[in-house]
Amino acid sequence: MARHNRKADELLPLTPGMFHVLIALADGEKHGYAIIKEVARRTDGAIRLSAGTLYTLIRRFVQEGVVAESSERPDPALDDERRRYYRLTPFGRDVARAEAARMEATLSMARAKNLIPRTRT
Amino acid sequence: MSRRFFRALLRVLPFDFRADYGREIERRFDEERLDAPGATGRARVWAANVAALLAIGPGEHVHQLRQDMAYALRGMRRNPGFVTVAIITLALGTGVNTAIFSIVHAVLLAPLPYTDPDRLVVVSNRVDANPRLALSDPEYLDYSEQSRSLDIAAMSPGFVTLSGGSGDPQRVPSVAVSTNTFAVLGRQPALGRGFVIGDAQTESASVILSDSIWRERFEGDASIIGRSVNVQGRARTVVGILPPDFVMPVNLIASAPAAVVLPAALDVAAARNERGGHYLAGIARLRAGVSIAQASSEMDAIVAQLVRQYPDQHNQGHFGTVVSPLREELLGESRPVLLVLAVAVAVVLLLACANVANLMLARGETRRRELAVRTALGASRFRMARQLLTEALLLAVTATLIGLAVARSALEVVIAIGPDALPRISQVSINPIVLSFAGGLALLTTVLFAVLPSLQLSRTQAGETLREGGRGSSSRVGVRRALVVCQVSLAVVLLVAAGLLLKSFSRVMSVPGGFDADGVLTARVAAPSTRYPGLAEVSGFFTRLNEQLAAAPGVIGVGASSGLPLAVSSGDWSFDIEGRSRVNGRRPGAADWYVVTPGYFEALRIGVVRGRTPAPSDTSSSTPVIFINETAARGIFPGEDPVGKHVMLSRSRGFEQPWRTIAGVVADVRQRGLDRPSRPEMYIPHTQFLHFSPGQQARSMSVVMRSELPADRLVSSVRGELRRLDPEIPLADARPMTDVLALSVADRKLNVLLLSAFAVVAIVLAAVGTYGVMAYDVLQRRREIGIRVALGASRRSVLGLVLAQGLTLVAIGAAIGLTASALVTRSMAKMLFEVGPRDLPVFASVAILLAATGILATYVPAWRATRVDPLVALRED
Repeated sequence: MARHNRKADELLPLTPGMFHVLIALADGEKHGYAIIKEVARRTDGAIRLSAGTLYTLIRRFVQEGVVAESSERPDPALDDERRRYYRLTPFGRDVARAEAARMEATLSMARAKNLIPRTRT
Repeated sequence: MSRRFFRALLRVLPFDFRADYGREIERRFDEERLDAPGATGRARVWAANVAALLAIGPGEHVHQLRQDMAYALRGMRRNPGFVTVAIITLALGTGVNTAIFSIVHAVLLAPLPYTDPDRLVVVSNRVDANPRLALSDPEYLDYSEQSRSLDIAAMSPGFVTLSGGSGDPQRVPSVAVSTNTFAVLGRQPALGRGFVIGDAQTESASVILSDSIWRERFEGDASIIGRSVNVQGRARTVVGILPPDFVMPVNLIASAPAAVVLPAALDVAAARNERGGHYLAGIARLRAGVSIAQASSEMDAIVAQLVRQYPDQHNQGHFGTVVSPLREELLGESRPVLLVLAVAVAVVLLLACANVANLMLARGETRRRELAVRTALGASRFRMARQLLTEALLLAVTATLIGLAVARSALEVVIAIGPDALPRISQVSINPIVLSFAGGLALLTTVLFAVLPSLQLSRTQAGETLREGGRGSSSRVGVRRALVVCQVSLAVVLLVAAGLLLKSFSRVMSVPGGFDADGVLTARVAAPSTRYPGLAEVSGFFTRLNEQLAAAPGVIGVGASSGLPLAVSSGDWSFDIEGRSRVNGRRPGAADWYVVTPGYFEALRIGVVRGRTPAPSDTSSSTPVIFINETAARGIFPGEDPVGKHVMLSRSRGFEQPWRTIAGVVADVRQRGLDRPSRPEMYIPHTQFLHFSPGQQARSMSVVMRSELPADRLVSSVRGELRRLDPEIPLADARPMTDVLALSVADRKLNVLLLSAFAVVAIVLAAVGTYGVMAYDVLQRRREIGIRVALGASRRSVLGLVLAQGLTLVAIGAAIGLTASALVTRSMAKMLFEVGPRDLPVFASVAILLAATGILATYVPAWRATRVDPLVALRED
C-alpha cells in the first residue's frame, strides 16, 4: 500500500494525536497499549487516545506507509500472542522530522513576536 | 457481558477495519480497564472508549467509501476500453429510453388538464363516407337539448386577427366554444369568468384570452378584465384569462393552442330543418352514473328520431353518432406509433444491458484469477464483493448522468423534428420516474454481473480456479453465447422495422404532389368582416392584392386559394348535376371545395387536363363557372367530358346557389397528404363564391407566389404590399412551399429517423457483443488452438473454425429475428405506405447486412486465432 516517491510534507500538518504516536514510536517498536500509555504519560494525561482512535490513526499510517506492522517479536515468553507491534518506516521518520521542523519554524515565529516567555538557560 | 457489549459497539466501525483491528481494540480496552483505578476509573475508561468509537465510526465509513472509489477508479483507469464501451452503451440505452418514455408518459399516460378527464367523451356523427363527421349547429343544439346522459359542449378552432395591447395586429389561433364549455370541462378561467348564456349573442361580444397571449401582448396586466380588445376588427370585452396549463380539447394536438376563446354564435331559436355545415367538435361529460355504452345508445335513439323527422337531411348513408372517450380520440393515430417506438427503444436498452452484462462477465472471467489470488491471500469475499459493487455503482451512475444529457438532447431533437407530430409534445420534459427506472436497470445489470463472478468464487474453491489457470467455466460461456443470439435477433427485428419504415418514407417522398413547390412562397391572409363585409369587398381585396403582388419585383406568378396543398383542406359539398336525378334524395355529386383566384394553378404549376383555369374575366356578373379535378371527373363523369356540364351546389342555410358551368379539369393534387389518395375536388372562382352558411365569405386565403427571389426578401416585399393595401391585416404563416411539404411528412420522418437510429444502435451493440464473445472465446482457447496448430491444423482451418462458430451464433440470432419480424411487423401496417409488412427485399437486405456485420465482428478474433503461436500458447500455463 505504501506509495513511494512522495514527499513527507504532503502529510503535514499532523494532528497532535498523530504526532504523539509518531514520537512514541521514534525510539523503537511498540504495541498499541504501550503507545496509548506513553502518549498519556508524556502529555500528563492531556492526550488520552482511546483504542478506537489509536487504531484509526495506525491504520491510516499503515496505508500511507508511515508505520509498518513489525514482523519481529520480543521474547516469546513475554509476548502475548495477540499483540501486534508497530514501528516507524524510514518515510515515517521523515514525516515526523518534517512535522517537528514545521513546528519549530512556527515556534520561532512566535518567539520573534515575544509570544513565548524566555526561559532561563 | 461488558465485553460482549463492547464488541457489539465495535459494529459502528466498517467491516474491514473491524476485521483488521477489532481484536486489538478489544484487547487494549481490556488492558485499560484492568489498569484503571477503582470503579470511577473504569467508568471513565468506558465512557471515553464509547464516545471515541461513536465519534470515529461515521468518518471511517466515509474513508472506506473513498478508498473503495479510489480503488474502483484505479481499476477503471487500467481498462479504459472496457469502461468507455460500458459507459457509452449504458448512457445511450438509458438516455434514449428516458427521452422516448418521457414522451410516451406525457402523451399517453399523463392526465388531460380537465377535472375528472376520464368522464369526457367526444360526440361525433358517423356516415358511410366518414366515420367521424363534425356536428352542425342544429345537430349540436338538438343533441345537447335532448340528451339526458351527456352534457355536451361544442367548439371549433379557427384563426382571428387580434389587435390592442403591444405589437402589430396579429393573426392568432382561436377557438369558438359553446357557453357551457368551461362547466363541461370542469375548469374555470384563472382570472375573470367563463362565458354566460348572453355572451353568445352578438351584442355582448365577450372574449377570453390565453395566459400566454395575455402576458405577451398585455404584460400580464390583471386590469385587462372588463377592458376591450380588437378581434377581427371588432371591439370585444375581455371577461377572463385562461389558466396557463389549460388548452381546449380541440387544441391538444396543435403545437400552438388557441390564444383567443370566443363564444360560438349558436342560435337556439333558428330553424333546424337545414342541417348541413358540419364544423363543430362535440365534447361531452358523462353525467353521474352513466356509462359510455348507455350514453351511446341514448344518442342512437335521439338520432333515429331526428332521421325520421328530417329524412332528406340524413341521406349520406347510415347516419349515426359515435360516443368515444376523449383520450382515445386524441391518441387515435399516435398510439400505435408511440407503442412501436417504445418497444423499439426498450429493445435498445435490453441490448445495451445484455452487452454490458457480457462485458462485465468477460471482465469477471479475467479477474477470477486476481480474485482467487486475493482470496488465497486472505482478503474477505465480502470486501471483494464490495469493491466490485463500488465499481459497478460508479459505472452505472456515470452512465446514467451522461444518459440524462443524452435524453435532453434526444428530446430536443424529437421536438424540433416533429412539433406537431404528437399531441402535447411541446410540453414534454424529462420524467424523473422514467430516468430512475432506466438508471435502475443499468445499475441492476452492472451490479448483478459484476458481483456474480465473486459470488461464484465462493461456490468453487479459490484454489481450484488457480489450478485451472483462470479459464472460464463452460456454463458462463453458454450464457454469454445465448446473450449474443438474443442481441442479434432483437437487432434484426429493429432493422426490419426500420427498413420497412424507410422504404415507406422513400415511397411517400417519391409520390408526385401534383404541384411544384420549388420557388414558391405562401402566406395566409384574411380580410376582416368589419371592413370587408360582403362578396364584392372580399373578392375586391384579393383581386387588388393579387395585382399588387404580381407587380412586385421578381414575382413570376401569384394566386390564392382557401386551401393549400398538404396544409389546409376542406370538407365536401354535394351538388346536383343537370340532367341527372337524385337517388333516394341524395345529390349525384359531391367534392371537397376550394375558393381560388386566377393565377393559383399557374403559380403552383398544377396541370390543366381539359378546358381552362380561372381567369380575371370570371366576375360576379359573368356566367358562374366551376373547375374540378381529375378524380372528380373520373368518379362523377365516367366516360364523359365534364367540361360544359352544369352543376348546382346544395343550399343549406346560406346563399341561393346558381347553376355553374364546368369550365375546366385540373390535375390531381395531394391536398391532404402525400400518402393520402386525391379526393374529388372542385374549385370556385373567388368572385363567384356563395357560402352555404348565411353571410359567410371566403375571407381567409393562402396566397402563393412563384419567384426567383430568395424567400426572406420576398416576404418583406409581400409584407410591404399588404401594408400598402391595408395596414391592419397581418401576414401569417409566411413560409416557402417546400417547408409546407417538409412539415407534412414530419411525423413520418420522425418515426423513420428514430427507428433507424435505434436500429443502427442495435446492430452496433449486437456487433460489439458478438465481437466481445468471440474475442474472449479465442483468448480462452489459445491452448486448444495451439494444440490444433501443433498437430498440423492449417491457419485457414483455424480461421474457418472460429468464423464458423461466430457466424453460427449470428445465423441462429438472424433466423429467430427474421421469424419474429414476420410475426410482429403486421402491427406496423398502419405506418407503412405501399410496402407490405413482410416485404421480401427489406427482409433480404437485413439478412445481408447482418451477415456482413457478423463476418466483420467475427473476422478479427478469427484472424487473431490464426496468429496463435503453439509454443507460446502451450507454455503459458
